[in-house]
Amino acid sequence: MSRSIKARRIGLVPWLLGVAVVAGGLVAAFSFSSSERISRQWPLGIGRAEVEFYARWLDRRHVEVGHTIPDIYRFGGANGVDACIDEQSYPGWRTRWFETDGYGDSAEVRRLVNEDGYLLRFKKEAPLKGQRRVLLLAATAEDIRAKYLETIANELDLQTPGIAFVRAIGCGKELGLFRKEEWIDGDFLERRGLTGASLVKMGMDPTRPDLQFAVIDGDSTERVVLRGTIERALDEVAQGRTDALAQLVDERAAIAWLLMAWVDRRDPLKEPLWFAHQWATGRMLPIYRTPTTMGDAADDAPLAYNLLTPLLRRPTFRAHFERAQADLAAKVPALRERFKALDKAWLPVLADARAMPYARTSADATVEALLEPGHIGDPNAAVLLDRPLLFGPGHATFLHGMVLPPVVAQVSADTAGLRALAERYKLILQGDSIIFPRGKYTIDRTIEFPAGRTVVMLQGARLFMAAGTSLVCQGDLFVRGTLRNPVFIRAQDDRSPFGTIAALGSGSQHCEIGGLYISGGAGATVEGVPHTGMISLRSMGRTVVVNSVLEGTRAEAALLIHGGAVELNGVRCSDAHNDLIALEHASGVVRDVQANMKAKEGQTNGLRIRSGQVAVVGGRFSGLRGAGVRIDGAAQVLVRNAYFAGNNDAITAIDRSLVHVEGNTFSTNTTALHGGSDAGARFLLYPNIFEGNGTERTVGPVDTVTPKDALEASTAVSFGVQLTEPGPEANGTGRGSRRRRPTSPAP
Amino acid sequence: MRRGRGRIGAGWMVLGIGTGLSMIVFAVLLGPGRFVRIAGASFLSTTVDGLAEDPGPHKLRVLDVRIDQDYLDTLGADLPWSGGRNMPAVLLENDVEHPVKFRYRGMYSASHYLGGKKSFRLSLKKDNPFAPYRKLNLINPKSFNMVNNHMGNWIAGRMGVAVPWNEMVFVRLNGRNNGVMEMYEQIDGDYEQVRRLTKHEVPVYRGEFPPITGRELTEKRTLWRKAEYWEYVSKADSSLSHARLKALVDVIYDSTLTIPVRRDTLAQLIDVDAYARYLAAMVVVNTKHMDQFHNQWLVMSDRTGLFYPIFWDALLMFPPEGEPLYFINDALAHWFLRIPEWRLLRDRYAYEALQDLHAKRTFMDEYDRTIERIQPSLLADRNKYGHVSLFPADVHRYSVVHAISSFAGMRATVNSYWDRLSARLAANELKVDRTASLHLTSSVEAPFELRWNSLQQEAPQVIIGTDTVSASRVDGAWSVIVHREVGLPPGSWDRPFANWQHYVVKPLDITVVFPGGMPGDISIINAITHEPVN
Repeated sequence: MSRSIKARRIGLVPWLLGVAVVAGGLVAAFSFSSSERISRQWPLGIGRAEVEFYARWLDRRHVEVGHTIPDIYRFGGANGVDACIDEQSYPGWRTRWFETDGYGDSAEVRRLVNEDGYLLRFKKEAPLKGQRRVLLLAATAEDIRAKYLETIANELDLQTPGIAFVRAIGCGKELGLFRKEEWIDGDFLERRGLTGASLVKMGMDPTRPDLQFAVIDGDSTERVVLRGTIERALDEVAQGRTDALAQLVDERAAIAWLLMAWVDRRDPLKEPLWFAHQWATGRMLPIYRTPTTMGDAADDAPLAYNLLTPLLRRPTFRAHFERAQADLAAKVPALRERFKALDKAWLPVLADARAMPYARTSADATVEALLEPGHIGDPNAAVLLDRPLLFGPGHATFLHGMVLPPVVAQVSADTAGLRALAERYKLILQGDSIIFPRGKYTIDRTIEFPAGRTVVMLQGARLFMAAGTSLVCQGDLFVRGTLRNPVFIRAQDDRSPFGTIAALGSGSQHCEIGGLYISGGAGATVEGVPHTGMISLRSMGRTVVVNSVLEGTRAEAALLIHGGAVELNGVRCSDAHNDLIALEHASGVVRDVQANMKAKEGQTNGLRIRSGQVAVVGGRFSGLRGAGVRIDGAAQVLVRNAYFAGNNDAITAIDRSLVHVEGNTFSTNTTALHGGSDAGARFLLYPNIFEGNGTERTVGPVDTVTPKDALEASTAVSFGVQLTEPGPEANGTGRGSRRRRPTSPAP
Repeated sequence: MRRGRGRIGAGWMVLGIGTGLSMIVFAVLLGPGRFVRIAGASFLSTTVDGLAEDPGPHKLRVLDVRIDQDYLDTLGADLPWSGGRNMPAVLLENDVEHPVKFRYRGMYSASHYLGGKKSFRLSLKKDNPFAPYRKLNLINPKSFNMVNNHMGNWIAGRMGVAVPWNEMVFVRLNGRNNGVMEMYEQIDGDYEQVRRLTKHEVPVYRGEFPPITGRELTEKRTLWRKAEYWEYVSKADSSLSHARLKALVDVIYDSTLTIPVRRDTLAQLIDVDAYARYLAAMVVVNTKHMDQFHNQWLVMSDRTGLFYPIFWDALLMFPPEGEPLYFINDALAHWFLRIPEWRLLRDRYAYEALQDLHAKRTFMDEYDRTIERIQPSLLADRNKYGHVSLFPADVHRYSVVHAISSFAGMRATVNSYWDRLSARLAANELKVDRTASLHLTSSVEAPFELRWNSLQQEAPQVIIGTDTVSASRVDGAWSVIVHREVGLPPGSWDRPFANWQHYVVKPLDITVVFPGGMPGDISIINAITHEPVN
């Protein structure tokens, strides 16, 4: 049998079938392949951009698309120069008109030299959301990684620049999406309550002569002193001794930073190290910035002598590091949930609808890479991070003439004194902890607990403080009472107030207060540091106060928290001199706070927020002669589902503050929303209930009130709360069950 | 079917004869040695280098420089004389165009301006990708392995000697691969400022050949003869630094001063420790490239007010003749190395470095790491130009075979030299005759240290030869050093400005007397290595 040599014609159907089979196969391959498979490094020189391009058309998996609208930054022309921002030449600053939601002023813009982006500098008297400098870096869907890393860093209580995504428009032309990042400078430290601190920058590349000495943001004396201290510590490290370094660097923050460096797989040679040096404590606090490059964690190329990795040579530090690894590994499920919320909020901003499947795939792969339990908990992490160290070229010569302080032998923190104290008050000394077990304590003199000691008050502890006495902790403070079995602190004599219960940290300490009943403090100045609250918590890394009652104080505030991350839940306050609760330069969430005032005189505020970014969720503010919530110092606040009744002002916002007001009930207040400052404030008004108030708004000419329909998920997430989280109705606090449906704000 | 072999054979024959004739002609004209080297380099670079088809991505930094071809032609019209004008160019980094100034540099060595890879300098604006550096030299590497200078610089930097920033890079010039080059910081008054040591410029002097104004190389001048021979390259106020430089020149010039006076005066003008490290680096790197005439820098420290040197143009394993232990590279070294304590300090730094670099293999680890980093760029570099013979004008293209062979050669040379140097510094053969005094004889070069324990509170006096010295406390024991006497080899001209001199260590034959009585537990160690003597 022989085949016909006549060519057979292939009809349209086979052609179409052929195309459909191939296309169907590709769609199936892209749509059903795992995230890890699609976003991995492809062989044969196939680039990520190619895969992304094909995925736009072929990846058909279902992805939920959100509706987050990013902030829009609009740039105008420059003074005397025609070129718009995208044509701005390097280098130098150009003054341009800048507008974003609720902000319009001239700002200085500088194009970045080594990255695609801009640095914005705002006027001192008109910062943008409290920030004087903001970095804008061109963003893609992969930048969600930076947001994940910021979340982990926050979880580890590291100081880290806040990250958001914005759209930029220059002279009417769309410039695309940018990652907005806080600039690390003195203002950054101040916003985080790290006052009296100097910023220090170092490099880890031993081949760069220009990176071998720390750049210190301070006057000439500060520079000389601090450089000498750093060089002495590093010199000691070179001789195999790390005690001086351990004294200099905050251990908890150093562990968190190193853990982040392990998680983010950075190339340490290319990333600078930032520190805040607090002169009050003499400690250096590392600041975490998301890396621009990834490296090989197993690379054994030497690093420059630095303030962090040598600490891994200390057995105790390494043990703590490994424990932190385990703790972080245990938090992976919770982090995954938070990352999902971030995806929902930000991925629709970073990718359009067609690119969403690939963006989602890429984000999933990023999450897997970051949270891979085998990597986070890798027992070799400490070994791999602790690379060989080298001094920069010529270091020994440059040290000549430098003033290096003598090595001070580490003095154990007044062990004998503490032992005497423990004996006197029947306290328990357990390792680094000083424990107040159940019992009555009559405190008749001011006690200061040194840095490195943790003070723990167990349930049933009752402290009776003599007039003017105070307790000051320079380490962690834990009050472990419960509602049924609280810790009591009160004055011995109701007519003679005690001073303060204070914690003074260096940026990484923890304070957790639960089940505390306290009254009768007046505030005090101890060792030159003013503690104006009955409870005064300064420069702690994280402060949590839950289920506590604070009342009857003559202090400026019943609870004053300055700096750090804050979480208040179920705190009840009444009767204070100025503010019931004051948060300064702090960021976090305040839930279900009840603040009321029995006294009929004074101007007491329920919650005062100065600078920082705080969400106030739920809670009840009533009978206050000042404001229920007073916001100033360019703070950004979200007030949700709270109840304001019978206050002089329900919410007062001044001095360039920004407040989102959503789902609250304002009842019988003299004024619901009060502004009127010279610098102005901005109210974003979502649906709320207003009933029986004297005036709904008293705002000045500089204030703006912007009606909004609904709170966006990204806004809620940026304040650290979920859009759909259970309100007061669900957990049974407040008076939500009797609320009426909120109404949309009048324009 | 059989091919017609006749015509093709004739063609090949003609070609062969032509090639053969040309080879003979060149061999006659150039001499067989030069001819073989040039032809070999040409042959290998043509045949072997092309075999590396996909060398992989660069691990070195890639510098993309764009300059108008007309400017380039103007600069290259009459090299080396025509290359010194700064021309506008662009440095492309991360898709950002940075305006720079471009000029050729290097007139004295033909490898800078002959061949296809010319050395040049970029002057950058303050805000640039290499900030805080403002001037960068891109040098055609002088050796076949390309990293010779870089590694020499690395050694000196690791030994604590001030060095310029130095990095191997891959350069693209006007879109074409220019190849691997050595990026060098150009030193000026901001030397301490870029190292974050000061907020202002400091006095910096350059010791180089005289500036060239015409079309001729100028005559060399001995730098330490006059302060004016040092070119001031800083914007910092120079009144104090210039006075100190003059004082330093005077001390060096004056041959009548006693050693103690000279030592004490020099110590008020130069950073002795920095110079000891510098001279130690010179003996470890085994270079003679910083000499009486060029490759010298002086920085007046903002912290001490003393001058310290910068190790410049290192040239690893560019040894002085005869492998001397105490090579005198310039007039300052002439006096410095005469001072026994300073000589010992230098030796200790050298030995310490050898322990670190050689015994612990630190150098070889770094060398391997550097080779691994440079490898893809080296394979991609088809523009490797260097001196293929000892004749200065023979700057020709060489091949990757030369580079590989040079890597291996450098490894062997370094190891064998450091073995010998370590052995010389650590040699501790000493003959001791103990009577009422100690009689020490030795033919090795190291000084010796005598240590003993005593309850005596006041420093004991010890007579070493004709000198009476006070013992000092070291680690709880009393200690004196028996320094070695050095001198110039017979027939040498004992003047600080004489070139390429060296000191030799005289055999030890000395008596040590303890006026307070000979200690019973005296121990003798090599003063450099602190090892007990044999």
